[in-house]
Amino acid sequence: MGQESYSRTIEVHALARVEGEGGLTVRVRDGRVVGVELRIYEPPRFYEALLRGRHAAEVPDIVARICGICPVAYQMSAVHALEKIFGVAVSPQVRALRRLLYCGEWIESHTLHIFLLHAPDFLGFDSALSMAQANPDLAALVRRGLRMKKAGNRIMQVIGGREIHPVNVQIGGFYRAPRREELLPLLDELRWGRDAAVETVRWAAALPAPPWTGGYEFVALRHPSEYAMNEGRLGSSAGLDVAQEEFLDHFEEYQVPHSHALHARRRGNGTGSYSVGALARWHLNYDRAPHWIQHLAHECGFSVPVHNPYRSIVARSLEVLLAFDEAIALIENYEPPSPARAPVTYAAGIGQAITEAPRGILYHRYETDAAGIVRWARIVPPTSQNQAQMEHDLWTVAPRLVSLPEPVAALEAEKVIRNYDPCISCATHFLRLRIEQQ
Amino acid sequence: MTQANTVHIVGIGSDHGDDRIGWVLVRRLAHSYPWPRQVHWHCLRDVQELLDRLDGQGTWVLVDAVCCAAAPGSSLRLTWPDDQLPALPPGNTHSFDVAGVLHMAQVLGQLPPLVVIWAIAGSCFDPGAPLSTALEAAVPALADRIAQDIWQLCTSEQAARP
Repeated sequence: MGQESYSRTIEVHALARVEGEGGLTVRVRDGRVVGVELRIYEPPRFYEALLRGRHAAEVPDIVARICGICPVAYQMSAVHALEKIFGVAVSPQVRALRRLLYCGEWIESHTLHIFLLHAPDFLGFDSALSMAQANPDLAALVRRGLRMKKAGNRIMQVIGGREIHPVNVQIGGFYRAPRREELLPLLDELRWGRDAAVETVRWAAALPAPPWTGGYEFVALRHPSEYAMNEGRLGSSAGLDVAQEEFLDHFEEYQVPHSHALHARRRGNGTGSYSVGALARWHLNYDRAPHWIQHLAHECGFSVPVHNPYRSIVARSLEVLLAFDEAIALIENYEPPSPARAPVTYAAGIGQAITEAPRGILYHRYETDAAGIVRWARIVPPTSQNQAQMEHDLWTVAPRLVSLPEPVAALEAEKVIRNYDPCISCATHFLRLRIEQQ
Repeated sequence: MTQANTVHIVGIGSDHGDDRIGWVLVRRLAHSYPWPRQVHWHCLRDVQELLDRLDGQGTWVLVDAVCCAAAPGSSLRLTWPDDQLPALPPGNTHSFDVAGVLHMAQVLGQLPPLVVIWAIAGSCFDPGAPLSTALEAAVPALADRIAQDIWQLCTSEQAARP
């Protein structure tokens, strides 16, 4: 070898513990990283084309099928966008019930990622199963996570009609509003869940996180008085503060040859990459969380700014706590909306809306005709928006990977991706790492 | 909480073609025989729900479709654990399969003393498709076979009672 140049490819052929199918390639030439690619090879599903020609009333149930983990997010962005076209104003009771449904999804999605997908990375296991097998304390941790997740699932079931792909959401409200006595039995488990979530925040904050240098532009909704979920202006840590309708003026999607999912970039911010999701939301909304939760975060050493993606598990844990706390309050104060749905008059127009899916902002835009038929649909999911940032993060860690044995390098690269809890199915399902030495 | 002598029959499936065979058989069985009160019936869409229900007690019979090279409608009766069930992969996506759920239940101390799995070979799993003709024709014989198994399990549970 001597003076000759050499090249190496580190490849993760299929990413584990992420939703969807993707791979990862790191190309190294003469010890220097020359290329990083997050490859999403799951076939595109063409949902936007599938929506064209369908009636607006069908949209909430169709888009719910995009994802088994965050169907509520798809339903919420869709109904909000369509309600803007049809001039529908929902009642405060409908608004509260939608927020409760979203709390269920955040609990269900975040606890799945925290306990079953992400925790093994910090504790040195290849799966939640091997983690649970290791000792009784870790088995108890997994059991706690599953029980918390179940509490979220129950909210989805009671309000949405079922735990996965709920069927009760429609433009203007719900097909049927649950009775108060249907929600009240959830309270005991939610109160247990809130206590368990406090423990989870403390546990997550104590997990060892590799050091990280570098900054992010965090992008999320921001609401004047609430921790943003269903409503708010679009903001960023770099000072962006615009209406949801201006999303496309400030962000653009683009295609890269190695991915079936479109990437997204912020217009005019250098690399253009930006970060959405729990860490971004906490940055922009922590002051909207109840004071005692803010205090807990501070007490645990999780005070903004936090520019370390490995600590996203703490932000997710705080959001689980917030969702349990809010779900309890919403149920205690619940008044069934009557009617369950505001009247809807279909009309021609364009409507856009963003809501906060567990993984970050989810943008929907629809054009309808006078009969309410969808003429055009556009959906920008959070995982698409995070792709460029994930590649940017991989560039940051790649120099450290080149000297590591292949399996170790692959695992470290996968951890970078899992920090984002990506849902590749949404963006277009596993990741494989390849390091190419050229 | 499950009683020790309870026998749970669980159909696992979806609305997609032969994947619905677990539901079809469980619904048919539940309404076709005067079963003892110890038998409980469940139809699940998401196998993770099974993990919520397993509490280390009783006998559980799972009926699920499988996609394999065997002729549609052919069946295989397995008792957990069995090497013919797929080994758990090192990673997972956002959901478990039947084997994953049973592995996790075992680790968490929720695995019942006896889990029987009836795997039914299907041929068409297209979205929204009805049950294939081959499986439709096999339903009566499959139901009889599983019914006899359940009766035997109930009898042995009763015999085992003090």
